[in-house]
Amino acid sequence: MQDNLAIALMGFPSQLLPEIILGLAACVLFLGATWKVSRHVWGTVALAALVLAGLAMWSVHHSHTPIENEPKAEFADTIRFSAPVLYTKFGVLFKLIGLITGVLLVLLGWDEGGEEHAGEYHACLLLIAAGIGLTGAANDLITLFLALELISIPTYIVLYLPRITAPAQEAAMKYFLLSVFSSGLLLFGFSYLYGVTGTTNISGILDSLGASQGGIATRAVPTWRGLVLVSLVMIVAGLGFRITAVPFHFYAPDVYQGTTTVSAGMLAFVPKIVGFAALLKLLGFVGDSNGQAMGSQAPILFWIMAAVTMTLGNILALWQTNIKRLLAYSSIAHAGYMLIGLAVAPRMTGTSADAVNGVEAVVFYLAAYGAMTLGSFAVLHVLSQSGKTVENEDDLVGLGKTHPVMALVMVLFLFSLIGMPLTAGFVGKFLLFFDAMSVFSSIPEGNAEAVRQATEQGRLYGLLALIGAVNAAIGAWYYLRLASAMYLREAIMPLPAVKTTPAVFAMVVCAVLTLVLGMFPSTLLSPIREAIRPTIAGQAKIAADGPKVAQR
Amino acid sequence: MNFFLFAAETNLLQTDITLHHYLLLGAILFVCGIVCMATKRNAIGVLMGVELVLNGATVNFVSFAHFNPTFDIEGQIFALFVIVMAAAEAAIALAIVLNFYNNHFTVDVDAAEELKG
Repeated sequence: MQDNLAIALMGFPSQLLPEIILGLAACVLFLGATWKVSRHVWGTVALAALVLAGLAMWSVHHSHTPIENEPKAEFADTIRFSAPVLYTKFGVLFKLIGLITGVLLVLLGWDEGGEEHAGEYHACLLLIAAGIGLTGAANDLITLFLALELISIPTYIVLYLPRITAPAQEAAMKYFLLSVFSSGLLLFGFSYLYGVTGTTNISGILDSLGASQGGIATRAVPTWRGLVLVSLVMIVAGLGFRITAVPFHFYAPDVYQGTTTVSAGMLAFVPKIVGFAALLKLLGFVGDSNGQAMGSQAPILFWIMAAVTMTLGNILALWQTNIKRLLAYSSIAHAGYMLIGLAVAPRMTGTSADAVNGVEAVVFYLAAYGAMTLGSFAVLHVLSQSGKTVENEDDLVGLGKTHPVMALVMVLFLFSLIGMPLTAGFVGKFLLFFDAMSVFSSIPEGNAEAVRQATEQGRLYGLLALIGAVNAAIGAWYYLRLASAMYLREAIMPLPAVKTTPAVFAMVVCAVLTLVLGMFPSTLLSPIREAIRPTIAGQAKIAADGPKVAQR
Repeated sequence: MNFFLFAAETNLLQTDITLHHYLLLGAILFVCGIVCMATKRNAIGVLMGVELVLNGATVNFVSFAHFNPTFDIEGQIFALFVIVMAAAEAAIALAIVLNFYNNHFTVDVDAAEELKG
């Protein structure tokens, strides 16, 4: 036991090699930027650091076994209940997403802002990439909180550095105050969670709350279930700011409009993915538990949030003429679609093993959303680089004639955001809506009361899928309006020719990802499934205590 | 009846301070912080509200860890991390507020009204 504990506590730094490399590289950039002013030098160093981190990740992958595959159960449990970070398949997935996001952001931000800030800017992007990986690996409230802050704090600087105009500073200030406030809420929620369960270890917390099936009860739980609900609300509120869920969405349009296009793209994706990752971890959606760790009220909460978020986001987007504001409301709407998955996931225990469950659909949608939203912001950024800033819908008019390739790429991203087949957005939406519908079709056999309850629930989730489908149709209106402006209207003042910059490369990568995820979704779905599904031992235990869990 | 007499009679002043008192303190700090954020118009004042919220959580952490003999010192450790993080955030806050001042010649958050819609 003691040896295992020592290994658990001593073994984790080597798993974090990619993050350590990124952190060290960020230090080099911060220091080096004081004596050398060159965006090309520091951009190259940042890319090199990301490649090096990728290689480190590959070598770590060969020298460590993910905790799910650990043959010795007792050893795995010791690690799970004591280590601050875990080497899991979920963590590896997020590390990979973090590195890819980092590369895209560095390429997009290559020509961003003044040359004198390039070093610091890229250093912050590297820290953000490291933060995404760390959030995926965190197994302790402390590491999770610090990982989220490792993303927030560089984000403030990224918002603040490139532009010193009044709107940009206003955006930075707004985002800063609200983000710090949301961190405070999250922390307050954590403090009650710690008080009730007596540990900051996330596996331990889930275990104490009676959600985890495969663990050992380590500590006695005081009888303060009420505080768990308070902390659930606080955690959902604190993370709701990051995923721009209504009613915590109001900052997004202002901040996206005020800041630069690249920063807006980053804000649309990075806080969302880490917010969802933290929610999945804290509520026990990953692995051997059922997502109801903090009370059976959680799915209802997510149901309401999903319905309100997507409806409000889509309806308010209809009136926007500023493209960045429009994409901000679109980002809110997409957060609503993703919340469907969280609402559905705990109800999908009865469905077959082949079905894609809600959590898998959410993670897939996050990746797909990242590719398409970063891509559409990249198009705007590339178009803006040649002189005239592209901000309003009217700036895109006639793009189909003047810049046929750019218009085609933009239409690809818009179609993906709508959810047209053959794009990543379609697969994501299909999986989420299909999940919501399948609750209805998987009514268990049994006594009349159980069937009646299940039917009622099925209707409720069918309604959610319907709301989602109506919203997708509303969304199509404003995305198609942009597409029609590009193709059906004549340009009065055509935009200047596009320069070939690193941002063009990032845009192409996003387009390829959108298409590949749309046409071959299983390339991403099978790793996600491996990362989310319970272990075999856990599945057996869930099957054995299934009815008990349902009652709770 | 005079309050002190009442307090002495009912043993109010001699009561031991328990976990509940600290939790109440944490909750009060939290609420004060939120009220401060909502009402202050000065950016530095809003920031002070945020610090109150963070400190409310810190008080909770430390008192939970102190009063429960079965708990380890994770609460205190968390508090230390939060204090350091709050310092880092304050540093960035000052940079942002200073730049805001350079653009608007005030630190009144109501001056931030260019982005609306």
